Amino acid sequence: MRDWILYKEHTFPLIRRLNKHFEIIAPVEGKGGDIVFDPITSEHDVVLDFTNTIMPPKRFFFPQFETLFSWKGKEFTLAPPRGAGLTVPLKTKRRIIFGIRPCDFSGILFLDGYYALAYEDNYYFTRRNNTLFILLGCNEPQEHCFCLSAGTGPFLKRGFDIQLTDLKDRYYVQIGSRKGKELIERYDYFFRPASREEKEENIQTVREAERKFKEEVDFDLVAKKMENEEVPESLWQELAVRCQNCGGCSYVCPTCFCFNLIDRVTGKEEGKRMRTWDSCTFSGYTRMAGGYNPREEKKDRVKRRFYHKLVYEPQQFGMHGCVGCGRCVTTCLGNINMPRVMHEIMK
Amino acid sequence: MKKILTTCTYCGCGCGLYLQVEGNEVIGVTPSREHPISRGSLCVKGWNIHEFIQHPDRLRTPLIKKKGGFEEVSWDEAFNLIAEKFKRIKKRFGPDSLGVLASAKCTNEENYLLSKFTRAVLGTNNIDHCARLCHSSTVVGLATAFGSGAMTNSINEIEEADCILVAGSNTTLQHPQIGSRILNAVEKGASLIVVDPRTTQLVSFALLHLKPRPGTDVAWINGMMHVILKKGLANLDFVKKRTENFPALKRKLAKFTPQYVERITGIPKEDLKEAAGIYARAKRAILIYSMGITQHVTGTDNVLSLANLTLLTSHVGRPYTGLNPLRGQNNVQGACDMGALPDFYSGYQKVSNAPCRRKFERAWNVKLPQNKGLTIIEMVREAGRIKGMYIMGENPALSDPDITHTVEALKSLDFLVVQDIFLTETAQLADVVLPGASFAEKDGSFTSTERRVQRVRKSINPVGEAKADWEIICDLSKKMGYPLNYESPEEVMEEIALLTPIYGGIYYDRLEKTFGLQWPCWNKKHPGTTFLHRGSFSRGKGHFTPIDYKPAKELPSKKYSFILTTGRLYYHWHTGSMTRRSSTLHREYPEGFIEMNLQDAQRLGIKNKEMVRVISRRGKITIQALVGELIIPGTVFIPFHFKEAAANLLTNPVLDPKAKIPEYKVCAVRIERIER
Ligand code: SF4
Ligand code: SF4
Ligand code: SF4
Repeated sequence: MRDWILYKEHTFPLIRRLNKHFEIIAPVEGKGGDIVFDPITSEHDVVLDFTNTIMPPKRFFFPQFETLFSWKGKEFTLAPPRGAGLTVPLKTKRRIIFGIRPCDFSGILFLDGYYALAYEDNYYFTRRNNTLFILLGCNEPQEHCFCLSAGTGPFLKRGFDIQLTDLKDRYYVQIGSRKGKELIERYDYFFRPASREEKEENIQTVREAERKFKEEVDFDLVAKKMENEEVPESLWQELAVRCQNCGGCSYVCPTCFCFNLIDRVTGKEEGKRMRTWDSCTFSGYTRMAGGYNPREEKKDRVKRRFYHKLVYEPQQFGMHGCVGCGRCVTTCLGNINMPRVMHEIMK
Repeated sequence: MKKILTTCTYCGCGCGLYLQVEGNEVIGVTPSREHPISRGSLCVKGWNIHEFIQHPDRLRTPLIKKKGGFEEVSWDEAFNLIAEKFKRIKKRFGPDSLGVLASAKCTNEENYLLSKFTRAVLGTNNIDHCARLCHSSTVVGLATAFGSGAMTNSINEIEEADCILVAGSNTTLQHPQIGSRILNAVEKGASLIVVDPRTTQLVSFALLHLKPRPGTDVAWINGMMHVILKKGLANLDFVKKRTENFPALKRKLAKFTPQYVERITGIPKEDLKEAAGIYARAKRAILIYSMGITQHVTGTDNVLSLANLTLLTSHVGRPYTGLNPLRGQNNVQGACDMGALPDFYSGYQKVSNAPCRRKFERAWNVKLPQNKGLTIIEMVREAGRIKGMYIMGENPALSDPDITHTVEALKSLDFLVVQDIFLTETAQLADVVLPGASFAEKDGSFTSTERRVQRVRKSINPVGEAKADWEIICDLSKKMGYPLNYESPEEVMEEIALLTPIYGGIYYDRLEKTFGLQWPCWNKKHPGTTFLHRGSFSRGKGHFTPIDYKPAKELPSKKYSFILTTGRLYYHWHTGSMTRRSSTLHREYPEGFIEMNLQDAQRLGIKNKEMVRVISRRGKITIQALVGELIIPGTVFIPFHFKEAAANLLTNPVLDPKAKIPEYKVCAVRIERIER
């Protein structure tokens, strides 16, 4: 497909135009100076020179706390969401996520696999399919980023709707899907075709970015060692004593998809079923109703978390369960994190 | 969706977080990465803080008890009844027959207003709050030793220390961010010494773990000082220049030889000597303590002893070096600062000090009572004298020691008003219940354990007809004939700044652009204070108080042969009114337990996870036994969150004579196997 150029001075006008027809979710500056993904009210909210956000935009597809359905009296049917008589509070407005990083978008691609595993999760896919992703590749990987090793960045080759590369005064625009193509066509007066020189400049920029990574790990080596049980149990024990069970590593992770289902009674014969984010570091995650817990020891839970991401998920989904975003490095109260554990295993 | 920056309402670390709001619903949380404390992380409670906010159990309308049951009423009806009853009680029995409990969960502004309401409208100094139950011994002890009872340092300084001594604090669970700083310091090479009868998570990182018998703290602290003096490791130059009363201390320490201390505490003498050496030789030594030190009949003595230790070694008044009481509640520091105490106005200005009193009389335009009011436990214990009580956001019916007695006392009141967000055990006893707002539903400020005053921001409207607590106080005051006219909490803070020297420079516009200011902050130009007592102590010279070892009040006997110590879990908060309604937290620990040593359990024939009966002189409970080696033989632990197996049915309500803090950490119990 043909590549395009968007001048930076035209970015805000483009966003303003898009904002009339879409709900736009983009990096904005929170009150404390943190950059977070949020719906914008004006194009001036958008911040595009940011290091990656504290949390991935996962919550716009899989909210931390969401009502699946509610019931009242006899109006209760055990049926999949959207069954008769159930209130399915879904947001269906068309959305654009503007400025999502390649690692986070890879996280979405990963979630796609999980949420279609046993059946298609309506809540997830309604939102997912209504969203168009405009990626912003990374010229400046941060200290803890290792997407290059994970194969999820700093720029993607395919899978996205649109991907932007920062070429100083302009963006190099690549189209990766029909949805993306339609959008560019509809707003084609904002773009012009990229020249051969610009194409070359894009390739150079990508190469340069790839050279800047400080963090490098070998996913295949680690997985092999783990599969062959070459990792000493003592490593998991050392990690377990540091883990403070905050759940943060799952919450911030773009690929963590686990949820818990709860029922909340809201009145007489009235209630709602909700789902909340869950984490495999909690003991309640695997505890059975009778009190027995197959992973009673924290060591087993921590171990399983890394086995899941590095060994089982690649087998199941054909993708690593880690996209190398580095967020668990920032969020862990016990300084446990993916790159650190991988380095320990690689030793 | 939108994200609103605010401050966590659970612990005193004071993490900055964004609440994710959709419509009028809070559906998630994002930690602030720029915030100096949260730095992109939260503990499990913060991460799941949205789960309790709009729980269906929230109180939505005022309630009045009629014929034994609660009836929903209008605000007007509720206020009219309260005003009438309080006026009548005041007229008949005098203002000191009324008592008020403020709340370490509410904002500074609300605590200030409630203190003003109590003193200016009700006309009594009978106001107190749960700080009495956690750190009143710190306030009294450190006021005597240094002149100011708060953390001397800031949380982030801990990372730079080369020695950290943690006494009676399960830091990783109770102050997760501080626990994390300790871990970072250890990774950088700091030596960690943990003093605790339980093997806490921190012990895994410690160089030394001293396990004193509960209630023997003065002995080991004096023992350390004895060793330090003997080895010549004291900083006598500092002692001479910056302290007073050293000779008296020296005399007292003479008998606390390591052998003598070992007999009392059970700490091997070699360990004591080693700990003393490491601590005294450190260049940057941080001493951290919490409820394991304060919640004793000798709480004030314990705190004074720790202060002695820091003075003797000159480990105070410098960066990365000091004595740090960790305050538990999100705003317990603030509630104290605001004068929700029977003897102080805001900023620790004494009620008994005539010029202070005159200042507040002028500002509030009313004559103020001079005599010191009653403390929490005294109010309840003197329920005959107290006829009416107003309780904002506290749950003494589960959190006081010996709650059987507390519940009786609350029931015997002529009139009880409880303002809360859930129908707590205490609210169930009330004549009128007023629905307050959660932290997500109002503006204001909290002051964290490191004296950081930071903003709390309204994210959603209060549920149902609930109102922000500051508005409730203002409305009620108006009904009682003393209008409190404030447009917003910001205006309240302006008054606080005006009347409270340590908050003198704290205004909302300054809090807006920063993550808060640390008091003392004397004026609008003052940048706030990272660590206290640089160059000189708040009171001038550091004061040594010689302390003798006194055993706990209730020691094990033949009939009650175990020492019971109580405390909290990581997943729950105090009486569980919020955390037990948060599904993620509740799932981790759905029920209470008693932790006991394997040897003891085997002797009694008790198996892990078996139900047992625990009996003290005051009550008995049935609870699951967790058998292991995390606690020393002869001592057992029960968390106090669970009303079905309430630890406080057992605890001993004896008080420290100076600070009036109850001895939650030691009482004698018997454990019985339940025959099947
Ligand atoms: S495991 Fe850590 S680095 Fe990997 S994707 Fe998850 S949060 Fe990012
Ligand atoms: S972020 Fe760290 S402390 Fe929290 S659950 Fe994960 S591993 Fe444990
Ligand atoms: S409870 Fe404490 S450590 Fe946990 S998020 Fe709240 S302020 Fe931070």
